Amino acid sequence: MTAVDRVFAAVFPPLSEYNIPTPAATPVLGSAGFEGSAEAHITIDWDLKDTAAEQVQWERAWHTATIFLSLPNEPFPAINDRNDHSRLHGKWWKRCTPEVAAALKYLLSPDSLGARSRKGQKQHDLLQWYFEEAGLRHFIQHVRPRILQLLEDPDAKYGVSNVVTYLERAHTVYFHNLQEYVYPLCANGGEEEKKWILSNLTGLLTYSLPQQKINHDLSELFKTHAEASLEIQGEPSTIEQRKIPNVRRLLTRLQNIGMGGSRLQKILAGVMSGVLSAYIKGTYAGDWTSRSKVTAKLRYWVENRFARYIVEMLAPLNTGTSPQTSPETEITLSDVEKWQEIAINHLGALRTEELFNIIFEWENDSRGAIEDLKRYVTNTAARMHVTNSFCEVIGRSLLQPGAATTEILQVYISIIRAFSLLDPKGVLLDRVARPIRRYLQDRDDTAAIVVSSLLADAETSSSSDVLPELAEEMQNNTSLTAQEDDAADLDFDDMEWMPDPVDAGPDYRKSKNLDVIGSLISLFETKDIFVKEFQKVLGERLLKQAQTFEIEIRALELLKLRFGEASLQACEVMLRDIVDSRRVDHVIRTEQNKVMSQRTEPVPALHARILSHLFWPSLHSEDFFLPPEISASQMLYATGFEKLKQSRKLTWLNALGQVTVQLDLEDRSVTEVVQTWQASVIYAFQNEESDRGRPATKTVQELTSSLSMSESFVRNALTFWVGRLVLQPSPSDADSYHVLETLPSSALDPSSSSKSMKSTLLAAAAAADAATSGPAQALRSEEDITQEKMEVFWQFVVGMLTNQGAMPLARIVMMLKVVVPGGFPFGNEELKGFLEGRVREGKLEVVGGQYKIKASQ
Amino acid sequence: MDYTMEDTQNHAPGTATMHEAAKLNVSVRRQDTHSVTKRLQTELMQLMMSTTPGISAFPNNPENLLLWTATISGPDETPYAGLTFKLSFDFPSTYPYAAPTVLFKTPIYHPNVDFSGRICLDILKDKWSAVYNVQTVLLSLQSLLGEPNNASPLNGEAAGLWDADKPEFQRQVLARHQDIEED
Repeated sequence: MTAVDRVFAAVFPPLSEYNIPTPAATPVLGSAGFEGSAEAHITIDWDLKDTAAEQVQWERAWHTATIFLSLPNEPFPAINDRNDHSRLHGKWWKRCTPEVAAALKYLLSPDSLGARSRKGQKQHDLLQWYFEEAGLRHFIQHVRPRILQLLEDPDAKYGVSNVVTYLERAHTVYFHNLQEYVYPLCANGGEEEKKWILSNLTGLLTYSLPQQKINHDLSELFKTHAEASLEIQGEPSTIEQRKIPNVRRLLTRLQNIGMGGSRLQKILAGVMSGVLSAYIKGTYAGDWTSRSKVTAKLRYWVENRFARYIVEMLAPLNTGTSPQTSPETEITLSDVEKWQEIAINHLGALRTEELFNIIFEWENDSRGAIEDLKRYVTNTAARMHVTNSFCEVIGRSLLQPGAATTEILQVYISIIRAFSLLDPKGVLLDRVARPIRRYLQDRDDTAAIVVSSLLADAETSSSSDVLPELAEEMQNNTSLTAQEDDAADLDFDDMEWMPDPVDAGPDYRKSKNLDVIGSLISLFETKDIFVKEFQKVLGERLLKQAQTFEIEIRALELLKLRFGEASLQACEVMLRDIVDSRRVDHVIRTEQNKVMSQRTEPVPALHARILSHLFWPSLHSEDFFLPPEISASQMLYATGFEKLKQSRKLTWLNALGQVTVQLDLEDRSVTEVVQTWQASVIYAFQNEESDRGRPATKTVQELTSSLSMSESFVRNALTFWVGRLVLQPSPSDADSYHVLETLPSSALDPSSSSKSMKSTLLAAAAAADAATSGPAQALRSEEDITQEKMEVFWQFVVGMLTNQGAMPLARIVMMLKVVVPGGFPFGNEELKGFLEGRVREGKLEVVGGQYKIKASQ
Repeated sequence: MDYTMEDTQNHAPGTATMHEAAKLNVSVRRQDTHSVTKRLQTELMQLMMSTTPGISAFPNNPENLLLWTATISGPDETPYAGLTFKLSFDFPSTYPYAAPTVLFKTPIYHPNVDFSGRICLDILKDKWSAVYNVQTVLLSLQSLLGEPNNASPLNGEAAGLWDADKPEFQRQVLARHQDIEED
């Protein structure tokens, strides 16, 4: 069978390189003649008549050797055990016959005449031939398709492992014969030949296979292994553990078949880099507790686990055939240090990604994350990265119309705290704060929130418009006077002085007061907005409260430091007014008590706050009739005041103030501290009371006319008293209320209360809440003032349209913007709404898109 | 020895060098136009707030506050009752130290107004004073409608008719008057 095969193969060479021996008698003319001159002069020493004979001998030897070394034209047999070579013997690993040995010797031995004479000629190089035979023919025809098939096999989880096994077999087969018979004949035991054919053949192997697929599969395999053995994803399973020798052996095998080396190192390095960042992400994400040990732990891990693993993995690549590669794979201490740096950078990148959440969670101790980040922002690029990515996140997820201003301010406060920890010089803060500050400046309610927070009571306030944190900061803030920092750079005794960081912008101005309050107060370029807002809130609070004004004074002092005394003079006056009026009040009252004591009937005690109206923001001046007793007291008080302060008069603002009311009802007595109009309304019920048997009843219309109070105030007060279970709306007429002299029994005893009654009570209480928090502000709202201003603008519009004729809206607005002193504060839409109101009132008409004064008749 | 020094010291501090004087001039002039604008703005505000019945005025366009249009309505119980008249105001840059040029735009039959609308009124000529303003000028003009100064008429026929034939005067007034359409 073998003989037939051999003959068959000899007759029909699959490739042209398969040489047919030349008949012994036929001289090869070309050999000597066509070769280069070198050949010619080598053969000069030779006996010319021997040449032909020698050629024949060479050809025969070549023939014998190539037949012996040629590979069967079929794939390898399937072998289960890698070390079982029994099936290779015979067809694949042939026995060497003496004539083959002689032929090989003649062809290869440096001593033989033939080999010597054909040194360096490619077509007479047996190894070259073998390479073509094994590599180009057999491998391409039989091995490669099989490998591709293995690679594509979807069932095998690690197809690449099977590929390696198969390649290894190819290796074994291809090199067995060479190892056994060829190398010993060559010079130096065939070292050079071995290397040559190995590199050529492995080159062919690797490049004829789909690189990407193999690389990808390999890295997948390595990754799974590394993750398992470095315990990156949970506990290592036993199956994965068993794979450890597997991969190491795989590496060894890959190295042996020439697929190791730098290429494999590259794959390994890529895998390990991914593993590193995966480890950091998996282990330290969200671990922000303070006194961060993350960096220390990470360094330890890199040194003791990560680096060790790499050494372990690279070891097989060291023992390969090329000993000179060892310096590349050796892991030095500096490598480990470099990896640690890389790990820290990975951690920094992770923390940068998390930064927004870290800051959002600032209250819940995320300080540790900033400590980690601090180790990362050591160079300009890293600092840039942190601020840029953070700014982007902020723009995307915070500075949106959907976010409440309080929320933004809250985050801004946390940002200030976090970044001043991260970078005490404040450059990073400066960079990230800019967009936030710009955005906050555009928000209408920023100033209001900041001011009311400054004045808020940290413990008690629960309103959503207030940042309790800021109030707390305000109360704890001790560095109120640390303001002489402008000249800090000129302080030559400052041993702590540092130049501004290199990445500071040209317009960066180091502000040493990184404190939260300072930053918020300085949000606005012009102090006007702030001062105005402060005045408003201050006024409100001063009028409402009875107790001391420590917070207010403190806030005022703080703002004075920042904005200067002059701009806050009004606030100063306001505060003094309150303090003064207490004194004046005391004097007047002691004076009057002497008078009063002579009279018998009890008179309600009246205290006044005397405000210098020029310095106060515009106040509610709604007037209504007070109960006669109160009016009398007011008169008396006014005379007392005029006696005390000559040539000054009191103007009473009846809508402002507080009344302590005690109501004696049939079954109970109610005491409440209420607003003046609420007291007036309930007092009106007293007058009518008790003359008949039934409780006093009043309608809204009666009350508005008898008190000359606006309907909204009357309704507000009525709702309030309904909420306090003092009044009750009549079931028949919604606008009519009567006094609830006796509570229904169910209201007193909640356990027995009928469901419907209870719900009425609840509704009433809710209404009361709404009522008190509603329009009861002491100072006039913006809308009122706007309305008033509009009246002035209306005069302008009338003047304009009277004299200039009909005008379109845009022109009216443009005109107003120029001619109104201080500018026209409204837009087209607002004016349009206003003018349309006038059109409805019949004062204007619209003709062809132009407004025109309507002729009076 | 110290003459030079003395000289500089005795130099009147108010005298400026030529260069400085030029600079001062420019700034003074700029200051002037600015103050005119400001003055007119204040006057406008005043006018708007007071709303005297029968008179009103407003700048023509936002770019140039020096040109105004005013409206006065004829006083009751005069031949001009029920009629409205438009006037143009042209303020000089030296206002209020010089009088504005005031013209009737609406054709009017009046002893002291000629047919092109020029007005003979002493306070708009030699009797002008900086204490006058748009409002006072308009009020004066309104009263001029009821009490023409027939001693110095620009329209002799009207002056004659005023004294001689009131009904004819009234007829002439109505014939002459026509509401100008806004452009």
